[in-house]
Amino acid sequence: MARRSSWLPGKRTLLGLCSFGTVLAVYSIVSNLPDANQVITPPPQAILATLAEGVADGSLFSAIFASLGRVLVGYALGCSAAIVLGVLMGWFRTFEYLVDPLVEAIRPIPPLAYIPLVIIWVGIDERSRILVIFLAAFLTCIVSTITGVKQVPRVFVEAAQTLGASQMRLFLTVAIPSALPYIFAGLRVALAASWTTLVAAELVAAQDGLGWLLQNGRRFLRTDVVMAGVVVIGVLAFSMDRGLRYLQHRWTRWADVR
Amino acid sequence: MSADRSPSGTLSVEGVSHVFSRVNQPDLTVLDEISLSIEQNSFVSLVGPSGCGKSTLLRMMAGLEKPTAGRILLDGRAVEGPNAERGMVFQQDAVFPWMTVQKNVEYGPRSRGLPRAECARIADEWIRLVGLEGFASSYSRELSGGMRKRVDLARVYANNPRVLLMDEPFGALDSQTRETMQDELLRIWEAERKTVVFVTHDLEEALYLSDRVIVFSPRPGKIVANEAVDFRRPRPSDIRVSDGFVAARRRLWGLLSPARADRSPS
Repeated sequence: MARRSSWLPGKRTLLGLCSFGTVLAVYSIVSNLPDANQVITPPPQAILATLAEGVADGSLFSAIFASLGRVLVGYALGCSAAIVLGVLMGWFRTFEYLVDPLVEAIRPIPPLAYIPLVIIWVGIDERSRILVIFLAAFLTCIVSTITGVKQVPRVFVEAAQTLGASQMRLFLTVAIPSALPYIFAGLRVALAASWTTLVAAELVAAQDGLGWLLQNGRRFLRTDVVMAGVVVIGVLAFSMDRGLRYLQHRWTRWADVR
Repeated sequence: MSADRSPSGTLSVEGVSHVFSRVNQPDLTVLDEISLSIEQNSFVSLVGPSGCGKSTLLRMMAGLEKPTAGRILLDGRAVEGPNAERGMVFQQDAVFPWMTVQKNVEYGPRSRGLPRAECARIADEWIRLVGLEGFASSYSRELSGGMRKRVDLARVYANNPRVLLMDEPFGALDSQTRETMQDELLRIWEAERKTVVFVTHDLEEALYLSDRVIVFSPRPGKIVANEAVDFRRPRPSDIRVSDGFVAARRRLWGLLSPARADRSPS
């Protein structure tokens, strides 16, 4: 088992780098052709130079700092609320009947649709951006949390009951661990949704952050800035997802998630 | 080990019926006024064709289902819901996959609030008794089907219930593992006699294990025979091919399926 898991990531990483490398190579060739317009398609070296410049004058870090703060706060609050509420909804029938219609009615509305309303109610400040990310994380995470708790096999519940487990113990030692793989799936989808929403929120209502950087780049036709921003967002979101995957692997190894 | 609880474990089933109500269809009577008494420390099998309600009766004994009519008593007290007095082994794999073997076996004692050290000691002992030494820190997915059943047995025994209810526990195992597990179960049971109610559709299994075999009719389930099995214990494995065993099996087969009594058992 240990041998297989050390061999697989090696092959996976290699293949993953292959597809990434191909895209980079093709773009590099196209953007470096003699008649390529460097303003529209800045070559990789120009994007790198822009990134280096952003690092040197600190503007990149302040943008990252602003965006990462929003994502982390909104995401953490949204997912915490979703897990608490979702576990209760999945476990207690009465609670589900009470809250489910509301959640189901709100869920199909894209979180971005709330931006105008949030601006009217809360104004254009930090709270409104965090609120929109909170909504995005909450609404995506709660669905899989509910599913996870509902999918707890009956035989586990009955085994625990006939071993004398109290309701509370059943909930803590059977319902939640059994739902954990689903909860992790929800956490990962919610993370992607949080980044999506963050950038959109910053495009329309912010004076700093990575989304604002993109918007600024477009305004001055600095395609290299836009692409540098895209790369940074990609790297950040990817690293956070990797972190989650690592936790998922550690905590739900029993479920054999690869 | 059994000293901390009164050694009784007498089950009485009094006029129990079970009726499923269905949508747009007449109600389905699964069990029809069953009355039955199971002596303490005896090993009793319930056999019958599928759908005769034997599993439903067992689940009612566990407190996982409620009888539509009648009641079930354990040592004179009515069964109200599931608890640690009546342990259950299921046909499906019920080992918690997110816990190690050790934690699984400790689960019952921990649920009853015994001190941590005491739980660990009980679990160690039962893990050893079911032959899983060296697997205490393994997870369910690392074990074979037979080993998981051993965990199930250790887990339920470690909780020291008054009655053990087993719902076709070996039904999903291959025939060789199944015979090994039957011998294991007998060995454990001879060492620590408890009331066992064992549901199976396998007559050979029922005869080999039990003091008493109770035969149910097809739905709606009624008791058509309640026979003592007198083979001396401990029973050797090859008793299964002795003349007396084969004759008993043939006779029960006739009771089980009167319409097919002229055909030889499979």
